[in-house]
Amino acid sequence: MRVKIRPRLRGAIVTMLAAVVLATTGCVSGGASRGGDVTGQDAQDAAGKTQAQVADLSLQDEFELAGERYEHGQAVLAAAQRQISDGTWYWNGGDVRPLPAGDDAFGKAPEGATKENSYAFRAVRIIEPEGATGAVEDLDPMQRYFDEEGWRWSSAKVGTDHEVRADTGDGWWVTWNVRPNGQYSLGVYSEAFWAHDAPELIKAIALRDPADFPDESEPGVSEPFPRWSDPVRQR
Amino acid sequence: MPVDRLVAQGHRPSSSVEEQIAIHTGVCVTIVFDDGAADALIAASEGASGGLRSQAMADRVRVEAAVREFHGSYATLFTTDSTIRSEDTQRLAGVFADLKTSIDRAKREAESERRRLRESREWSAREEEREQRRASGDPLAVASAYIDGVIDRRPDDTAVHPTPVTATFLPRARPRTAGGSSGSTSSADPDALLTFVGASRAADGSAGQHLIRVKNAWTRFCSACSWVPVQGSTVVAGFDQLMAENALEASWIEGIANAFDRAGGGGLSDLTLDAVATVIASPALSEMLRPGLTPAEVAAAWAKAPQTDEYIESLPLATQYLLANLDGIPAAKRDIASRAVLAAAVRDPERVYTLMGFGEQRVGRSDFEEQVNALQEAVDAADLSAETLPGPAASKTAQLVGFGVHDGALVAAVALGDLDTAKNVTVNVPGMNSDVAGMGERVVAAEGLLRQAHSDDRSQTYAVVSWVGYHAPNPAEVGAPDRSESGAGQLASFVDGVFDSRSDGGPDTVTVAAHSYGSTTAVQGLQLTEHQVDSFVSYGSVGFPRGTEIDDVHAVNVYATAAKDDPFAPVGQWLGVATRADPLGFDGVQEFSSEAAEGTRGVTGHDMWHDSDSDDVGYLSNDSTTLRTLAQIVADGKMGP
Repeated sequence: MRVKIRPRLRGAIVTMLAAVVLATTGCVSGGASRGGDVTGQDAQDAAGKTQAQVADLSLQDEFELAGERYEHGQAVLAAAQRQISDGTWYWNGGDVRPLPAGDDAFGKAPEGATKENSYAFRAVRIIEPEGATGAVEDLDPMQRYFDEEGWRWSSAKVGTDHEVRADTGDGWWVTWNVRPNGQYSLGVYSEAFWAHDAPELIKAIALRDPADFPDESEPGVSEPFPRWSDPVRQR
Repeated sequence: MPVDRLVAQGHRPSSSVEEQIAIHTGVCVTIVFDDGAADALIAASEGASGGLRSQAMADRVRVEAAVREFHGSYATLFTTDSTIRSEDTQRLAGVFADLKTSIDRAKREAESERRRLRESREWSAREEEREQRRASGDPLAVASAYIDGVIDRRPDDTAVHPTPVTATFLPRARPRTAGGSSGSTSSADPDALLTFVGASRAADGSAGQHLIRVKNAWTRFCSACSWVPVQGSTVVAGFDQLMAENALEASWIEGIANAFDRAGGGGLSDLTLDAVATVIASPALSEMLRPGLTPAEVAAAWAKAPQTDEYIESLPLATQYLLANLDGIPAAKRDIASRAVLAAAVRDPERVYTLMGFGEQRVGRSDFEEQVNALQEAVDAADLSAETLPGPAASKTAQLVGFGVHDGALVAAVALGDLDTAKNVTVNVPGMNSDVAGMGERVVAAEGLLRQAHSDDRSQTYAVVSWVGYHAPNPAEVGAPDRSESGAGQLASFVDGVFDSRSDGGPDTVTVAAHSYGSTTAVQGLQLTEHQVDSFVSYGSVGFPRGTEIDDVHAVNVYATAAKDDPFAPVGQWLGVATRADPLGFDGVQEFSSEAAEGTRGVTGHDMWHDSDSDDVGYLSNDSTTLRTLAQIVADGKMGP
C-alpha cells in the first residue's frame, strides 16, 4: 500500500481567508435550508419540468406523479436485469421511497435544487453468477445493451470493482458493477425531480408504504407503489 | 498480562516489550518495562488528577446552591456528606498527582537501568574481543588489547533498584440517615436538590471516564512494567468506591427531593427521610450504575440484572437515564431506556433538563428543547429508514444507543441496523460543530453507507452508528486539543461496549470512520480501547496529535483521505498546528483518494454529507469516491484485494 506525505498546508492568505469562513460557517455534516429559493425557476428537472410547471400541483398530485416515475424506473431496471439473467436477483433494500436530491442525485442538478425541493429514486439489485470473479469482461453484456439502446456510457475501475454506467438521456442512469467476490450489482437512479416540499412528499410516501419487499426475486418483480388512499401509519 | 496476550488483544508491543520477548529467546537481557504503558498511566493519572480537582471545586459551589433552602438535620447530614465527598475527591486528586510523579521517576530509572545494561553488554563484547587479541600471541595485538583495556574501564555494574510505586486511597463512608427522633423535621426546595443531583451525576459521568482510563492503564502497567514493584495499590479500587458512594448519594438525594416534592413543599420528619436510604436502589442496579465501570464490568453486572424489556420500561426515569448511557449493555436495551428518556424530554423538557444536570449550566432551555425535538425527528426518520434496509428482517431496525450529556453538551447515538447482532459494525464520528440536532442528516448518510456496503457484500449484516457522543468544538475551540482529549474516552468506552455487550466476543468486522475534528478524537480514542477494530478511516481530518504512533492505535489498518478541494481541513490543521499534523504525514497511515474518478464524484467541500446550500459534494455524498472506497473498506474489512 502506498504511503506518502501529503503536501503541507496551503498558502497563508488562502488559509486565513478560509479560517474566517470556517469561523463563520462551521463544518457541520451538511446543512438544510427551507424554502426561499428564487434561482433556477426555469431549470428543468429529470422529467423536463420547471418549478413553475409543478407549482400548481397538490401533494396528492405530486404523490401520484412520483408513483409514475417509480414505475418507470422499475421498468428500466427490469429490462436491464434481463440482459444479464432472468433468474434470481437479491434486493439491496426497499426502493419505493425516494430520497432528498439536490446536488446529491445523479446527473447535473437543476439550478436551485436542494434537498428540500427535489427528490430522486434509486433501485439496486444484486446477482451472484456462478464462477464470477469480477473480470472486466463481465461488463460486456451491459455495454452491448447500452449500445443497442443508444445510451452514452463510460466504464471505470472503482477500487476493486469494475463499473459501467449509462445515461439514458431521459433523466435516468443505469450502473453495472462487477466485484472480485462474485457479487455483481445493477443500479437504476433518477436525476432530481422538483417537489414543493420533498421531505413532506417522501414522508407521505413512507407512511403509506408498508415496506413489504422480498429479499430476492426475478426481474420485473417490484414493490407496489402505495396509493394516496392507503392508510397512513402513525409514527 | 503475558506479552502474547497483549499482542493478541491488539496492544502492539513497543520497543521495550519487544525486548521482553527477546529475553525469552535469550538474545539479550533487559528489564520488563514498557514505556508506552508507563506513558499511558502517566497521562491517565494526570487527567484524573486535574479532572477530580476541578470536580471538587465545582462540588462546593453546587452544594452551596443546594443547601440555601435546606433546613434541619438532613441539611446538616447533606453538608457533612458533601464535605466528606469534597475532601475525598481532593485527596484522590493528590494521590493521582503523586502517582504521575512516581511513574515519571520509574521511567527515568528504567531508562538508567537499560542504559547500564546496554553499556555493560557492549563492554563485555569489547572485552571478549580484547581477550581474543590477548590470546592471539601477536605482541602488537596483545599490547593494543592491554592499552584498550586500560582506557575502556568496566562500567558500573550496580543495578538500579526501582523505587516502589505506592498509590493508596480509600474513601470514607458517608452517613445517609440522621438517626433522628420522630420529633425532628427537615425541609428543602426539591427543585434545588434535583438540580444538584443532575449536575452531580453529569460530573460523575466525566469522572467515570477518568476511572475507566485509569483502570485500563493500571492493568496494562502492572503487566508490562513488572520491573517496578507495586506496593499498596488501592487507588483504583478506592476510586471505584468513591464513584459508588457518589452514585448512592445522588440516588439518596433524589429520593429525598422526591419525598419533599410529594409532601408538597412542607417539612418532613427525619424518620420518614431515614426510610429513603433503604429503598434507593436494588443491589444489582446499584452495582451496575455506578460511574467508572469499564464496559466489560458493566456487561458482567448486566448479566446479574433482570434483563426483560418490561423491567427496563418499569424503571424510574433517572435510572433509565443512567442505563441509556451505559456502554456494555445490549443496544436493544439501551434503545428502550434512551427512547424513554427522549420521550420524557419532548414531553417535559424541564424535568429532563434538570435530570441531565443542565440546571446549573449555561446551556439554554430553548436550545435544549430545539435539540431534543430535532433528535426525536431524526429517530422517527431512522425508524422509517430502517424498514427499507437490506438484509434479514431482524436487522431492519434503528436503535437509539445513548442520550445524555458530555462536557455540558447533549449527546446521542443512532444505529441503523441491529447493533447487537450485526456481523459488521461501523461507528461514524462527526467533527466540529456537530450536535444531536444534526442527527437526521447523519442518519441519511449512514443509510447510504450501509446500502453501498451491502451491495458490495450482501453476505454480512450491517449496523452503522451515527455517534454524536462527545462535546464537539465550536470554531473558536477547534485549534485546541481539549475537546478531542475529552471525547476520546467517551468514544473508547462506546467502541469497547460494542464488543463487550455481546457474549460472542463482538462483531466480525468493526470500522471507525471519523470526519474532520472527529478524526482527532477518534485517533486518541482508539489508543484507549481494550479491543482492536479492523479499520480506522479518517476523512477531511484537521489533524492527528503530534507524536501519535500509529502502532499504538488499536486498528489493524489506518486510512486517511482529504480532498484537494476541501478548504477547511487544512485550515483546521493550521489552527491546531501547535499540537496536530496532517494524518497523511504519519508512518503507517494508508492514503486513498477523494478526487473525481471515472464513475465516481470527487469531494468538493468539507461537509460529511451533501450540503444543500452549495454545489459541494461531501465526503459521504451519494456516489462520491470517498463513500465508495469507505463502503469497500467496511464490507471487506480492509482496502484493496
